[in-house]
Amino acid sequence: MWKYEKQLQYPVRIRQTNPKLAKLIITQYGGPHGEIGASLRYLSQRYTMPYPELKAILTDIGTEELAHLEMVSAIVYQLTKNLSVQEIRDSGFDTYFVDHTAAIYPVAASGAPFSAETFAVTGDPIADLSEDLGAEQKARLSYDNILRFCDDPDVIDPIRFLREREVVHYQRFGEGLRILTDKLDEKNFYAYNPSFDRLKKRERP
Amino acid sequence: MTEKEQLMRRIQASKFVAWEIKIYLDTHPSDRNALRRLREEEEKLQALKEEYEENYGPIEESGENRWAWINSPWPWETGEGEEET
Repeated sequence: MWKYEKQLQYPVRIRQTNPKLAKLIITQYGGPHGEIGASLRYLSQRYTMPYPELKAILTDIGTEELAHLEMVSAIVYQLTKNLSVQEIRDSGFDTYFVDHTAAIYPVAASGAPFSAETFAVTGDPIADLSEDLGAEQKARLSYDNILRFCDDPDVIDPIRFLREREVVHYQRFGEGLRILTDKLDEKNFYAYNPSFDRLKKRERP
Repeated sequence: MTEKEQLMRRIQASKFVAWEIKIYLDTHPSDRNALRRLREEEEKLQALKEEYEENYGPIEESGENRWAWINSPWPWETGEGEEET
């Protein structure tokens, strides 16, 4: 189960609205490298992980991603408050606004709605943890690309925090993959799926 | 920022430090230094929470303050209706 804390993981306090930027940042909510996908990926992968360290890290990072999607939502919400129709039209936010007004809906910056096809859950811990390393890099580069379009320190500050978390998570998943590969024995040199494939009885030492 | 807000920021920062050590311990469960550091941070966090509650009222929700919890600003509304600092 989960317990909600009525507090953001890191403060978001944006004074100047910017619907054009909001249309880019929403991609870290529902886009291909966004926080919903991150959270669902890790929280779904954890069940078939073989060692307690791996179940723990996927549970904890999957949980932290939920806090990040709340932060991304807060940024988009504050960037799109009290807009005039003129501002909505001129910023290009109108194509989002027409379906969602100023609500928070999981889409990519391109407008494609969130899809579970953006992540994999294979049941093979090596495949899954390798995917997680790539996922953290993809999220990091998306935040780097968002920062190219930001000049408001109120937005840059929480986006930098989120970017740094991807770097830390990449580190933790790298250690998780090491824990796993260190435990593979010499008979599994080619790293077949240790969660599903077992040595036949007669082959056991 | 008011003194109350500053103290809440220190609580948030301390929570974050504790969380960072916890996820480090997921992949380094036998690191004694990190464990000691986590216990120290948890003591510090407890002291900060007590200081806050003595001065400004409860942090955690309970049967005593359910409506206050419902009615206080939601996390994405931070700063709404406040003076700009």
